Amino acid sequence: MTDPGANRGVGGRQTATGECAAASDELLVRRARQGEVGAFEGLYRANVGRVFAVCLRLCGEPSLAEELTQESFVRAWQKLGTFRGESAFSTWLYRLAVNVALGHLRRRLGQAQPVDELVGTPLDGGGEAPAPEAGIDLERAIAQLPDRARVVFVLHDVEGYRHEEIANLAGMAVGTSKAHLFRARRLLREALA
Amino acid sequence: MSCEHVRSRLDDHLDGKLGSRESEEVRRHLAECSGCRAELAALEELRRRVEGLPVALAPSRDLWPGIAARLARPAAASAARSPWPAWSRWLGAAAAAVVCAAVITGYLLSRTESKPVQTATQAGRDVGAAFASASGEPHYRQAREQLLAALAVRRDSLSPQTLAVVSDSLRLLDDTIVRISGALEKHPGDSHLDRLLASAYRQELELLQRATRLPRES
Amino acid sequence: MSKTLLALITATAALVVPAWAQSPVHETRSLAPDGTVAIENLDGSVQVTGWSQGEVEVTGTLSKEAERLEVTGDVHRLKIRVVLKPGTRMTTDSDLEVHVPAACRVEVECVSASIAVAELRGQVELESVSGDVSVTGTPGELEVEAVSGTITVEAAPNKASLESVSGDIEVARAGGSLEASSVSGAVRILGGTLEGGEVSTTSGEIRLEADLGGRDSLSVESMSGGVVLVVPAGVNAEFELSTFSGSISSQLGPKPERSSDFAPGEELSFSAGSGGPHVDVSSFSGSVQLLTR
Repeated sequence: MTDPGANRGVGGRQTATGECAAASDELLVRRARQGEVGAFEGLYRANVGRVFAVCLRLCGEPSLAEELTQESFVRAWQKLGTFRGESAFSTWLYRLAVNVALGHLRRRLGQAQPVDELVGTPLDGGGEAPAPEAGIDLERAIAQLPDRARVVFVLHDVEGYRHEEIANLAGMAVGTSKAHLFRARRLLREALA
Repeated sequence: MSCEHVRSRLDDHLDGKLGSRESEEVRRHLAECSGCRAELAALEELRRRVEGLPVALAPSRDLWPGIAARLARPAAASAARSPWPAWSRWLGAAAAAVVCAAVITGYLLSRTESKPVQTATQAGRDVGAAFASASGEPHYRQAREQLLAALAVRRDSLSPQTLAVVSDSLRLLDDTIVRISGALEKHPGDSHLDRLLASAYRQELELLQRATRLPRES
Repeated sequence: MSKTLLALITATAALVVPAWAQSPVHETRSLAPDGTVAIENLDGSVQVTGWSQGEVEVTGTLSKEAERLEVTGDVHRLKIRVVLKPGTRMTTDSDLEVHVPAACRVEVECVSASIAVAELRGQVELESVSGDVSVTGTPGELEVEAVSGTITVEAAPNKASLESVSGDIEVARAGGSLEASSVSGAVRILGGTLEGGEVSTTSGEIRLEADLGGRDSLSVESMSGGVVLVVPAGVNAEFELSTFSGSISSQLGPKPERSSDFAPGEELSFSAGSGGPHVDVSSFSGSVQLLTR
């Protein structure tokens, strides 16, 4: 899979668009940093779909995802001063959105979760929400995954993060991340069968 | 290799992460086991469908008006337990910069030998806190430049020892700010880092202010 | 030489003041009990002691670079200043001992003179650059600023404010809320009761051994220095400890967790005993230790 947070290089179509987007983003970023809200709106329009998609897939609820999307852009505006252009703006923005979404989820996932929360084999339900219903489409199946499994699946298989980064971001051991991925894929396969 | 073992290795096999020996064993098992082949096919199907997921999704409505409204207000809720004075949260960044300039000018003008002892702590906190609000960093930089210039003007009136302590401490604070900013670049939106950075800005500005009003030593 | 002659010569010699000697001073002025005494001495030492008389008495010796001791003002505000001869460089040494009404307001500003105050009960504001500052007794209010000088306080009053840049700060007994900050110096609060406030350092270490009381929150912040909190085993407080890349070790509460707020550091949040004042300890790369005594 491609770099985390970057445009997914599916069939090359995204990459070309990605390059164009990066160039115009740069100009908008410069102007937005000076306080030009209109330029920031341009950055919003160019990136909102992608930000919303990652928020929605991570949290599984559309109205919550909309709130998280707004929160991400507001934070991005506030943090523009700290963006140093070492990566593409969109990469930085998506990373911020992932942080915002995980920050919200962390409160829901609870503070006192032990690191190795999986009991027994990865196929064990672990006491979280039930598996997705059979025969539904992929987006809905992902939304119905248990929280941690969904986060790992979205970050790894959809967004292309590596287990080390996921472990770092979501506060779990690398092995736990792999186990969650295994479980997520298993549950999704059963749901889509 | 048992089916259960193979099925637990299928994900890595598909991702190409198995060593050549284990990979070969899995391949051999798959050649003879239709059950596991079906599992692999299901995994591959899942991967195909994931790759087909749209990169972007449209929210149910235009979210921009909600965002624009919040841009006008400085950061409020993110600073959970802020030690800064309340007024700094309600001032917009532009107004805060005006106040800051006035405070700095005030300090420079009041710099006489025989003025009574006053601490810069609270005023410095006010000034420093103003930069912690929305888009504070350019204003922090501006205040820092002004204060450094004021300090440069009077550096001859400070002893070399005092200058050394002040510049070592400034370097230490600058260093800290760079490290925290670097961490923020990798973890944007981390509120703990935000607080630390705002604190470091504030401490640097307080130090600069104190340095500009130290008594003459020569 | 006869003994008498030797004695006479010795006695005579003692009367001749050598050119390098200091000149003594002695001044007295009346001061209202709520008056202010402001003292400025660049170099040497300043000792201020409270007493029950209604006047200010200055004794001591001026260095040879000192032109005079200037005492101006009135019964409400007295200013005592060591005036140096024009063009004087550093390394002069004037020592002043000042007795003041115990409840009056005292302001001292020095550069490399050390400052020692005792038995004062009013407002005390002390500023030094490289001189050390020492406060004994219990002033009503206390503000100290030093640059490289150390600050040593026996009993800090409520709302005390202590700032140094590279000097250490040490308080034997905290008495309420306290603001103490240093950039590279250490901050040590070794006893008494802390009721909220802020303790911060950039690279120095923080050590807090006071009891925790009151309802206001206490904010402890370090960038790269370590933080050690020592509390009674049955303490009642709410703790929130977090680091960006440092480690946390605690003898109370649950195990710290890797901060899932996207950082390599750790965090630990819990309520000890029946809960109480909120203690927020935050560090960038410094370690945080919570120990029981």
